[in-house]
Amino acid sequence: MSTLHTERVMGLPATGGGLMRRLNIVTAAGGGLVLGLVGWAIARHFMLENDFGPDQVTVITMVCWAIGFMAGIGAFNGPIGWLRGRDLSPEDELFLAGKDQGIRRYFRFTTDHKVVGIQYLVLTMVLFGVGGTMAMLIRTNLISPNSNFLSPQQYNAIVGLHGLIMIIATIIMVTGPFGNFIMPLMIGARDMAFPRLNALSLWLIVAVVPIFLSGAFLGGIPTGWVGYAPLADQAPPGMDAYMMTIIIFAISSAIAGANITTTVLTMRARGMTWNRTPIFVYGVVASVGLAIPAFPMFMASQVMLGLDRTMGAQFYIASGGGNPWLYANLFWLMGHPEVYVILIPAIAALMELTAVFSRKPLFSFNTAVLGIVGISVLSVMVWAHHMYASGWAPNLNGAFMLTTEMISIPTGMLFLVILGTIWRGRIWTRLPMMSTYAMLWNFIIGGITGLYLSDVPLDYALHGSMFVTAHFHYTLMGAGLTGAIGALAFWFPKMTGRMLNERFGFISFWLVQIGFNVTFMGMFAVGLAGQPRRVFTYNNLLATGNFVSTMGAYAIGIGMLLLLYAVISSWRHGVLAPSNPWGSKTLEWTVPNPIPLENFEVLPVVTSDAYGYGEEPFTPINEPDKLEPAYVGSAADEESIEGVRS
Amino acid sequence: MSATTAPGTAIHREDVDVVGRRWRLGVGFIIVADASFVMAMLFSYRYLRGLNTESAWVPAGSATAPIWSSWVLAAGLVLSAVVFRWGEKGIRGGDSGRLVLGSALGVFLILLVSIGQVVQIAGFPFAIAASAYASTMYLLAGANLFHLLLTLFLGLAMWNRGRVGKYSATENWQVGIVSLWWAWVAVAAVLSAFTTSLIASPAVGG
Repeated sequence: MSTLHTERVMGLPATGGGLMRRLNIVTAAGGGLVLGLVGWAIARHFMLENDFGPDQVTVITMVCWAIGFMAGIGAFNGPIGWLRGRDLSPEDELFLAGKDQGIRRYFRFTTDHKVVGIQYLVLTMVLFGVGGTMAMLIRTNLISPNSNFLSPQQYNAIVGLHGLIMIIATIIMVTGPFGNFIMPLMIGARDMAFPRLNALSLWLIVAVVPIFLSGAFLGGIPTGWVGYAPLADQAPPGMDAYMMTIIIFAISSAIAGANITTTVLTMRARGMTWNRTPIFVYGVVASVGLAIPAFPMFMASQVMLGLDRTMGAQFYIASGGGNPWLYANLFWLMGHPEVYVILIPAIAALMELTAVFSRKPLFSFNTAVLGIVGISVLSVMVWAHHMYASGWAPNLNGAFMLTTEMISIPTGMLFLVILGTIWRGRIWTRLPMMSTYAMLWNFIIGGITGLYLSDVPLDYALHGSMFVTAHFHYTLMGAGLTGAIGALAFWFPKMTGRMLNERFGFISFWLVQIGFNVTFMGMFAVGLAGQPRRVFTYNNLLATGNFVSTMGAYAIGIGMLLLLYAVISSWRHGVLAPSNPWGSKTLEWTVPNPIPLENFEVLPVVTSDAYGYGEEPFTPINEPDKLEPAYVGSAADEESIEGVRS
Repeated sequence: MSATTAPGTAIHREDVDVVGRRWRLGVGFIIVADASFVMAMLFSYRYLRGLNTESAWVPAGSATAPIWSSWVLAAGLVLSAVVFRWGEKGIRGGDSGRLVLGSALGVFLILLVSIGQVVQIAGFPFAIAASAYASTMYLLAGANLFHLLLTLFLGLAMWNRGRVGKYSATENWQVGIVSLWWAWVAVAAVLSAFTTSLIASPAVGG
């Protein structure tokens, strides 16, 4: 279990590892397919002949797929070798870190945190692509009251899948790419604490993608993303895909959480006291720190759902002594902290870049930390505001209303920090900074409508309406996704070695933000007028609002495609980035492009905080095309850039 | 952020104690996650028992599992953890033979408890679909079996690695981490046995 850092790595002979060197995503898919097919055939033979239903066959097939996939990528090589007393040689560790493998390292069980970060970035973009396409289909169906673009079954299936995919994508969108790529650099570490666990957490999510997509062909997820019992007990086998997805994703989240938290607690550079630790690091730790206890509860709820569905257990069936409130409690004990798992790192990333582009120290660093801690603590005390209308513990509604409204206080602190940082700053309006402005606008709307919904009487009126849908999109997309896009624009030069095309970035920004507000303002309107969420059709009186929402959604779609084009084209052909194009003071900008395998030749010692802006003159470069690359590479280095770019 | 370089800072190499402390913390977080999973299941048992929905937690006239069986399994697990801990203390003093013996005995006990767990599940006087009580009993027994299998893997690795001389008085942090996990698994079994000792619902006709 030694890490790359535990031994001097050069000049030692290789000790086998032949199998490990042949494994990649193709062998993973092959292993998953073969084992999945074997599992399917055996389960079908024994289960269906013994009066079991299709759920058992589906679950066994999915479990076999996941095990086969992880075996095929090489996830079990380490533990089995360890059991046999065969530790990896330093050369094996270097191979696992992806040394000298070019683009191939992105398709392997690679342990280098930068590779894992890029893998997460691409995975997140793929998930958003799939989930976004589903959103377009949903909105197209709702363009008129009876469009019949989709069948009711297709519509239900797609709404559930869209929700599940987007929740997973938003959970990993900041802590995945930037928590893995940027955070270790930011704290002055050579890698994550547990590089192999890092790769494991990534590949578990990759393994789960085909599982939840298979749900579309197995009757879909007709429960929406919440998967409420007892409807989930009765749903088609698509629900098994949901269940397996959550179980595997929860394992991945726990591993990633332990890894990131340990990295920050034990691997910060010398001199990086908590007062000198960048606010983004706090955001990432708060996010994964919430996820560590929260997701296993969700996992438990899904294990019980699986037993209900496959073995006739009675956890959520009232006639057998079970109770759907059990599911609702376990789900929302995860579900509300999960909102802040998404939001906190995104807003922390925006705080980080706001200081850079305002050329001012972060306003009241301690308030920012207090706000993050306050949100984290309160977020585990508000879950039942999702259950006001369920009839569960009505005497507690008042208490949960109070805790929910209290959470606006630390949230307001974060607003105050950002506004205070911008106030009288020397604002450098570049693409990343635009996300800060957009987040302030969107999150005010999302936050204030959240206060409405926390109010018990109003919640009874609005519960289950499109108003709720618009509210949580304003928070998760308007603030969370906007923050992630800001983070991408900010750290793109460090992650890819290229500048992001800001012309397309700005066009995309305005299309997405205008489209977003049009879409969800329309949704607020139809929600207030009484349109329930997750409906296939609606009253003619609501046609205008829905049409407007659909037009807005198309604008978002076009804007996102433009952003995708900007990312891909810049990654391939963008201007080479200087090592620190924004004049930022955090440690990730002190390493050269392309970043060496172990990041720092000599570990840095931190002697001041991360926000000493305004202490010396800084001349911003407003025309990215005229940026001179600080790193002028040789042909070999160009190859390395190619590798990063790929 | 100002930063200087420190020529004296060791690069590419970390002290084994540093790595050990890091792993101990990381495994601690994994245990927190696992504890959350276990607590969710124990909460489910207590919650459904407390609600007694449709008076069907344990329907009238239906059988329940003998309480002693879970306690016997938990006692076996605690004993195995103690034995392994004895082995761990041995390697700390440089006695690798004690680690090998402690691991072997621990693994043997885990095997016995695993077999006992399977026997308990097979011998439950009810089907999983019989009631919410039956369902939670199967769930907790299954979770304990999962813990046992994981611990069996770790125990086997300790025995084998100890046998080939991977650990010494100065380098034994992996043994300490496995001991930590083993202790947690034993605690989880005790908590589970305690919880399932409370069968009759306090709510009548709920």
